[in-house]
Amino acid sequence: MSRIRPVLRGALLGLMVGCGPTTGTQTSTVAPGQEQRPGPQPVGAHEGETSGELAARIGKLRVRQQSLLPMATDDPGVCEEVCSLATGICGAKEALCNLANERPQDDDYQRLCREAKAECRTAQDDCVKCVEGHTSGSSEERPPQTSGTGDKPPPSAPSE
Amino acid sequence: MKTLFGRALLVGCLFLGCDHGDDDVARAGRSDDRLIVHAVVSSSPTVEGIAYVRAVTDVYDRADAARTDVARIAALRGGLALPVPAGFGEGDVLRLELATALCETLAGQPEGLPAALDVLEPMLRPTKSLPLDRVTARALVTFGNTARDAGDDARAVASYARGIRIMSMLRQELMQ
Repeated sequence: MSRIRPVLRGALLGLMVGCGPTTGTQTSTVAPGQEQRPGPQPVGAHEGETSGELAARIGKLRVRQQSLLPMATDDPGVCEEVCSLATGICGAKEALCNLANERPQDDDYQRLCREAKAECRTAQDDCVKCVEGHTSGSSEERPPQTSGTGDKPPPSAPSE
Repeated sequence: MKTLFGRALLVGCLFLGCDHGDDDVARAGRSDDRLIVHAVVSSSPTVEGIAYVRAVTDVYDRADAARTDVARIAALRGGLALPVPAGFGEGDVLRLELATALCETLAGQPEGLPAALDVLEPMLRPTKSLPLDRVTARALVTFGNTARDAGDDARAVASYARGIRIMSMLRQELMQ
């Protein structure tokens, strides 16, 4: 949650305050004796300076802000929790299936391993869905890696 | 009639727990992955509840400040000895968390695995209703790791499976 919110807040603030390249007169302070170096130049298409052009630009920004607000107000902490649970589930699955692999004839172990694998897959899918739904393409949160059943370090208990 | 009786017994086992079933499972050498859970009900703050939370916080402070594992174990054992105030639902979760910390510390000691298992085993019995909480899942995974290290694969597998189920329930709750 805390990792995503500042990004969204920053994005909204940027939309409302910064608004991309400025086209008006740029002022800069130069110390006496120093020559003025060329500063960063505006990028992107010229959006105009007339009141009509600026009004159109504000309108566009308002629409964009509206589309971003729902993402900012939804709680991305839920996804963090869902993904953290998925990591815990898949870690425990790994340990369980490692033991099951040592006893391929034991139906009980094999059944529990199959169930654990299914739970891990579902949990990973939910994590991906949740992150995609909340951040639409943001790489802030990544779903837990799919794990095989090879030798891995012991699973850590799910963190708080 | 027999079927009806069987169903009634099964429902009773699911919700009330059947202690006599433990022996059957153990005798058969199977992993006992039965799971009974209850929701953690938030209680209104009471003087006793707040005092318990403060006392547990002090225990963690002492445990974290301990310079040796022996001192840390003593601090955590002291915390487990604190009685949970009646009706304080979160108290059981806090106690389980203390037990998990103690189990982890004991498991790191030479010859400490049996003692580590003894700490969590009574709190996580398959016939006991467990709080539906992340702390319980963590306790079950820790118990599974300890049982596996002790060579008790059946208990390890069952504990992992139960931990997975608790985490799954919590995940489903969040996705609703």
